[in-house]
Amino acid sequence: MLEALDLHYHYDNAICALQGLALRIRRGRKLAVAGANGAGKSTLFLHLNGILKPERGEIQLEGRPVDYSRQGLLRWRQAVGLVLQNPDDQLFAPTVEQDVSFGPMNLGLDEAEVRLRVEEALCALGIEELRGRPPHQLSFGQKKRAAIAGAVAMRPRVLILDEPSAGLDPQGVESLMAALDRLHAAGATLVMATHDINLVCEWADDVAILAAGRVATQGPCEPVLTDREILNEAGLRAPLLFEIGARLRAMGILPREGALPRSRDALLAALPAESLRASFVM
Amino acid sequence: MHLRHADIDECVYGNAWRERHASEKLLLAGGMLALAIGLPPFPAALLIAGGMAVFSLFGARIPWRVYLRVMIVPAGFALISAATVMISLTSDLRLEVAPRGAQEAARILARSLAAVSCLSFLMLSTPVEEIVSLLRRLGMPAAIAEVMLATHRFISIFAETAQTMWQAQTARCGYATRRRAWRSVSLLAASLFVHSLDRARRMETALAARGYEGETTWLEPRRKASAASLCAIAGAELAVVVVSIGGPWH
Repeated sequence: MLEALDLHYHYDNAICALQGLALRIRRGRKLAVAGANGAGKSTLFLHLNGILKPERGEIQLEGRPVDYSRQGLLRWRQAVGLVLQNPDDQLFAPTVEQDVSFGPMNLGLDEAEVRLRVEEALCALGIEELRGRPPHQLSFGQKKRAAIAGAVAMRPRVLILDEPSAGLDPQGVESLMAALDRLHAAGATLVMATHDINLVCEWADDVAILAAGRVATQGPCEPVLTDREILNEAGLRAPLLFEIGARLRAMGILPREGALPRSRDALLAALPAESLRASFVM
Repeated sequence: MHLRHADIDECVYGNAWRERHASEKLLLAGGMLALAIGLPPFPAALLIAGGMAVFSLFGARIPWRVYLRVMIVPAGFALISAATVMISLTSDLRLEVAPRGAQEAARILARSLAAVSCLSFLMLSTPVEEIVSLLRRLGMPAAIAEVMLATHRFISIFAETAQTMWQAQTARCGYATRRRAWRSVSLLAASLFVHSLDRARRMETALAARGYEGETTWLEPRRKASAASLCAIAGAELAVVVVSIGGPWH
């Protein structure tokens, strides 16, 4: 659906940020883009939203490349929404509700439609009761959700989130993930950058590993995230869940066939509690 | 005894008149300001300074600590200017109280305090964004509105950045001795601009990502200006005019 082809880009200080990056985002899937700091995640995202223009290569949405004219960019940014890492960079209106309305207003919609979309976005993120509060008085997790609502209200076909879980407490991550799941269930295609590889394992359908401005590999979670060599090269580690899963499989506790457990609960449920206790007693 | 940016924000978003329509507060502050400048200062300036203090402290319920701190710096400036007006240099290089100097100084002081109290009230009771959107509806050009909003945003970013940097320096004993303090302050000043600019750029990116095209718009809160309050405010202003023109003071 959304595709980056052979992107090249470098910043003024001559650091090559992207070097022939190719990425395919499939409709209705949850894609995680994982990579160490400086691998090019944020640069890639700024390209996907049309804020940076690649020196070489191009970005296509359903086969059509970005039109970098003013009108073209406005349409593009409606289709491909971006949420930055730091919500403080994004939130600036006097109240949450007004901030969320900023994007739809820029699309030139009439007031009734804007109100409808704001309502929908606040509900999707579970922050209806924060509508009248000034954004800078919210907790960090609430700010994150308000910032995401600002992008959701534009009804993008693809929603791109830069490090949405960074700096959140476990409960914050949980409510954020629940909100993202609601969006996904409503048909959104989601892309998320993170270096929390365990979160990738629990959340994503597909994963792309970024290293040195390129996509080292891309595919469904299990084959990619169990490939230690590629992960090491990218400065990442295999998720603990998969490492334990693989070990249990080798020990014969998990079946040889079928997928490895993808979440804490799934892993715990897969453990035969009785036999383990028996083996400890011996 | 220093004023944090957050204290002002708390008043702006938490005062008792937060839900009142911006036009009421603008009419009150703007009208009184015009009167403070236009009418002879006695008794109008005194009435206005007193009245605005009452509106701020008992109407909008702004904490008096914050109110005093906001007032004290401009009041200090006014005091200094009044003092320089009062004193004059004679031809044989002696300082003396100028003829009618005391009277002139008192007029300036009263007028400045009245004007400052009007602006303080507005600043502590009404978010800038509401004032700007009202002015825009009253016909102010969009470009000026954007500059006002950008300036205000930049001040917040500046203040926040400075505070964070100052905390980081303090945590590493940057202000332990006077020498270190001077050095730390100079470092802070040098990098404050770079840091703020960096943050401003990221903000710009975020605006662009949501389709910003040079005009900040968002849903206006569904509030109505109360006709009764507007009339009451106009009445109070008229009263000031009547008292100061019709009274036995001149």
